[in-house]
Amino acid sequence: MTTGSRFDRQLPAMLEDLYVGPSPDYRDDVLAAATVKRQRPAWTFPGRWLPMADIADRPAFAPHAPWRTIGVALVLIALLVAAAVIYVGTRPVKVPPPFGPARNGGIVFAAGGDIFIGDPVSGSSRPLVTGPEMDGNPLFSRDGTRVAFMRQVGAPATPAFDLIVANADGSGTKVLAKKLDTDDPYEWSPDGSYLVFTDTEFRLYRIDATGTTTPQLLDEHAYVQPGEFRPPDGGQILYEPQAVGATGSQGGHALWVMNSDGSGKRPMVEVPRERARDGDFGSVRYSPDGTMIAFLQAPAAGTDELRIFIMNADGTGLRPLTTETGLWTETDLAWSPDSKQIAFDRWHQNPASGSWEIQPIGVASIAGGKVRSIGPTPVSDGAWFDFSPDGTALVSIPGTILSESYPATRVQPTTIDIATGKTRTLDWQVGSTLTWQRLAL
Amino acid sequence: MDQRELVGRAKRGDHDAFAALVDPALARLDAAARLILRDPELARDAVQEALIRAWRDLPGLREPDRFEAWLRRLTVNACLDLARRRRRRPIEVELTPIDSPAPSDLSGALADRELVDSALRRLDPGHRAVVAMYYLLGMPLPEVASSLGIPIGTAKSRLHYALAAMRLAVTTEPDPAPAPVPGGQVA
Repeated sequence: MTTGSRFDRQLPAMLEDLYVGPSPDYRDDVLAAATVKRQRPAWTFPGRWLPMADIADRPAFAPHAPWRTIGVALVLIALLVAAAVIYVGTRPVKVPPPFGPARNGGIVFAAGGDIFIGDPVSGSSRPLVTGPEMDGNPLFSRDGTRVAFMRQVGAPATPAFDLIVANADGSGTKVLAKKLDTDDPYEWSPDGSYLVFTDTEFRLYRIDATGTTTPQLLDEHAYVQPGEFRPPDGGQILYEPQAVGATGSQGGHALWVMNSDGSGKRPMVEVPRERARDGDFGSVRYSPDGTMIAFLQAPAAGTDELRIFIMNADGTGLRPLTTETGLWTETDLAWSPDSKQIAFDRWHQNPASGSWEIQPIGVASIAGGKVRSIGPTPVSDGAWFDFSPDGTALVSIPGTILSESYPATRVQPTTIDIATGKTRTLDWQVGSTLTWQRLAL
Repeated sequence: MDQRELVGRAKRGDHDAFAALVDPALARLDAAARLILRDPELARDAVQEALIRAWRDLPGLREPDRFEAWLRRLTVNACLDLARRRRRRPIEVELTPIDSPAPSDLSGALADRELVDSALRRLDPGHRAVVAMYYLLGMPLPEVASSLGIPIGTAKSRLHYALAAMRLAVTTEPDPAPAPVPGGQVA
């Protein structure tokens, strides 16, 4: 036996002696630090895609009536009420379509258990829903008239959440569903008549937006993310089946589609077990014009790559979005309102060190897949971002704060101009994703 | 209770089940982290980061039988992330005290350990990660490659390079101060 081969045989024992000891004395501390965090539902990937939306709203900032004198006011009120009744009765309120370009409204966010709305033009912000309750995870309806959010109820160790909806000005709060076991993901239907919610057991519910009917179970083993209602009417919903045996995906990963009433379930894309990787379908979104679907998938020949693929809405024409050489991980995709571009987080693998290095947010053209970087390089966990309703900007926050429902850390959001890459920091302390109100053009 | 059941309970927020899943692996994860980072405090940070990610993302784990492999991967990646962030900070390892009886050839074994440790110190974290995953965590090379996001050929070459460095450190005589000879060879 040579000295070298003897060494090779002894090396494992040597390393054991050198490094392996009893259970470390920090065991209790690290376990406590880990389990104090809130768990996320499946289909997440190193860190980050969240319930969010490209939705928007804009509260009315309605002025209070100028009561000067009681007598004059009574007359004015009578006249105004009469005029308002006539106006409302004869003209529909102008709201934006659920998808496609719209006018930018306010941006709603949560911080410290309250819901706020900010004006990205003036930079001002004000509370929308306040109180002792812990409210978070706000989401505008696609017509911008209502805001849904989650209210934590119960003990912090065993949190439950009520799904609540309010008018865009914060008035008229109403509980739609009680004691849900997680606060995401959920999503408004395009017409705002209901929301879908996936619990931690992957039961998919349809929740009536009026709060008058019991939530309807659409599927016992499905997961629906924001962006999976097919524009323009949401008649079909993409979903990721979770019970592999029952749905036929046979242990791999799959993307299916169902009608919005839960009928007509059928596969769109299936990845066999041997090719299935973490991150497959970690983000799936219809284009706002409803003609295409973009999703994440590990390329067949890749190592740890994750790339954005696009295909026609009927499942044909599957192809990678980008054509960059090298190894890339692309995540957190967001369509531009005009369906012509996709923004995404991306990491490039350094061929020398093998490490994944975060890059600035990429924006790729659907026609040709050419990528350009915009804005500063995000933190290592990437950024959360979404397009403004008019498609001219992204609003972005560091992705690291999004692992908790009510993070102690707050961040200042930035807007990034799509054309110039110019950034502007908004003077708000934000502890959640943001939801941008859509207004009629 | 088997691992699948523990994973199922932990996915539903059961802290005790999560602890039961983690406990059997913790000492070895700490060892791997100390080997890669060569700093006990950084190792603790890496293990904590891995556990936070494991707890947070556990509901997304679709193969309960792969929990341990997943946790190993999270730990190594947390180590490499930390190493990248602390690239300019000099770090040193604190060796684990040995409680077990020493082998008969005590001086030789201790000397070899020190030489191996010294050789590992000179490797970069990416090479040490391959050594830790292969020897301490018992991961097969394809899994090592997959976890690090590198081709298997790269994983093999890193392991080969690391082994050669350690072997050279131990088998080169005399020690500890070899006299240089003409041509740069070590006698």
